[in-house]
Amino acid sequence: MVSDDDLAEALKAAIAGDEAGFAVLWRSLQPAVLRYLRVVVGGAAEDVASETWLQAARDLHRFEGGPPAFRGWLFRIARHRAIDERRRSARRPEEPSASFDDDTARAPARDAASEVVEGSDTAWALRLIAALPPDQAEAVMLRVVAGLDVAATAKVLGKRPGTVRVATMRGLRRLAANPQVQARADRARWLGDVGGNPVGRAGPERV
Amino acid sequence: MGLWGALQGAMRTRRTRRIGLAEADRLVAGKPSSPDPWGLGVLFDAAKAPPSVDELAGERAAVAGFLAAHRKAAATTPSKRRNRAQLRLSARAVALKVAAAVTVLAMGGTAVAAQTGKLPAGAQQRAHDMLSSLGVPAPDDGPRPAPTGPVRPSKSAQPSATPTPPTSATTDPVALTLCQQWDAASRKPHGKALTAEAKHALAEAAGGPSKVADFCVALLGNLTATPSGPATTTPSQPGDGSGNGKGKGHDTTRPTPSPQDPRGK
Repeated sequence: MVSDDDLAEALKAAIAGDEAGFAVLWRSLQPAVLRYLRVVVGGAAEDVASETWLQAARDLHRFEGGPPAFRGWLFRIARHRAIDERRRSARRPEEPSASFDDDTARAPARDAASEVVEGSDTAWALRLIAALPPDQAEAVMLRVVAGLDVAATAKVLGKRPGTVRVATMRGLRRLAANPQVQARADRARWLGDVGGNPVGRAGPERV
Repeated sequence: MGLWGALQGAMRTRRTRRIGLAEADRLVAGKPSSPDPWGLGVLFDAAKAPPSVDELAGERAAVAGFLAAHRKAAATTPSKRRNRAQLRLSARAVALKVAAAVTVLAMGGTAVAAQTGKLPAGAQQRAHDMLSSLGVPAPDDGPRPAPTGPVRPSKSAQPSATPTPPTSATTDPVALTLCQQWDAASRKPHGKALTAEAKHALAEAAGGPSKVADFCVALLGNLTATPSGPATTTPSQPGDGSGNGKGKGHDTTRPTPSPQDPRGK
């Protein structure tokens, strides 16, 4: 992750129209945007992320503030685009959108990518979070992955801070009760003991 | 998960403390008060692990989109990005720029104020950035150097960038129409989305769904530089009709007559 200081410079440059600055913003925030959207809109995440950045690029000259504010602003756009996407897909339930998602058009790039992602710890974590009730999943993603504080998360979700805190807590309780989480934590602890690594760090890539 | 797993989970939940509000706040911030008996650190570390190569694959398209958007918003502001992206000022770019600017300015009902230089400095600079080719002056004590465009509120607007010839000769009318739909759809997310067939065709023409943005940006960008293109001008967006300020500049800077609405097809 890029520090907020570096991000502040990039942000300033991007607002002035500098593509290198925008590229820094994109590289540091796209992973979180994409993961948030994976939880919210699933397979459409990449398309919605593109729409999010296009709108951000268009409106950037109107943005004022530092990196924390920008993060909140960007995720607000992402959320609105995600809501649009869900409306769109609800409006065309019969259309063969699945064929576009699944077959030839996407096959080359998508298959290789999803294979890698499916097998990763990240994909595992996102699947578990996506299985939470939507308000809890969103709150957890915005707090943990997007790195927003309670106030910013509440603003993105259009809810009160107290509501966000409760949703986050409930989400964490559910996740903590998940046997898969327990199993991974045990494995990490065991490997941590064996390897002398501090407990609670990220687990190994593979077993 | 099997029964055994569920049972194990249930037993463990009973064994560990229940997560409270304050503890939840600490956990999501990565600062658990105790060594995390819930194992959530492992889950969170996985969720925010460093990005994979695939997650960062779209950078070029994103930057292309940024350049296109910025070009539209400030087509006449000279800067170093010009040497990489050829600046193409066109009827379409001007129309879009005016539409965007009118939308921004109309919020404060200040389009006229902008033309006469009566906005607060920040807003004036912004109006100038967007409308400099149409004769909106920069603020008097503007922090940035004034661009080459006309700086006084004159009516003789002139595009200050020379259109560059198209780099690619292929202007497949079908691809063009699709790209215009794509452009319109991405601009107005509440409007009509592309049909699945259109998306499919577009992905095929572009050589892959991830290349659509690049493809269309290039295609639309090229086309706007050729006056003979079939449907190069986009009228300003409907819905921002309050446009006080768009009249004059619009007419004087639009080289190609006979606008066609790509959405009308």
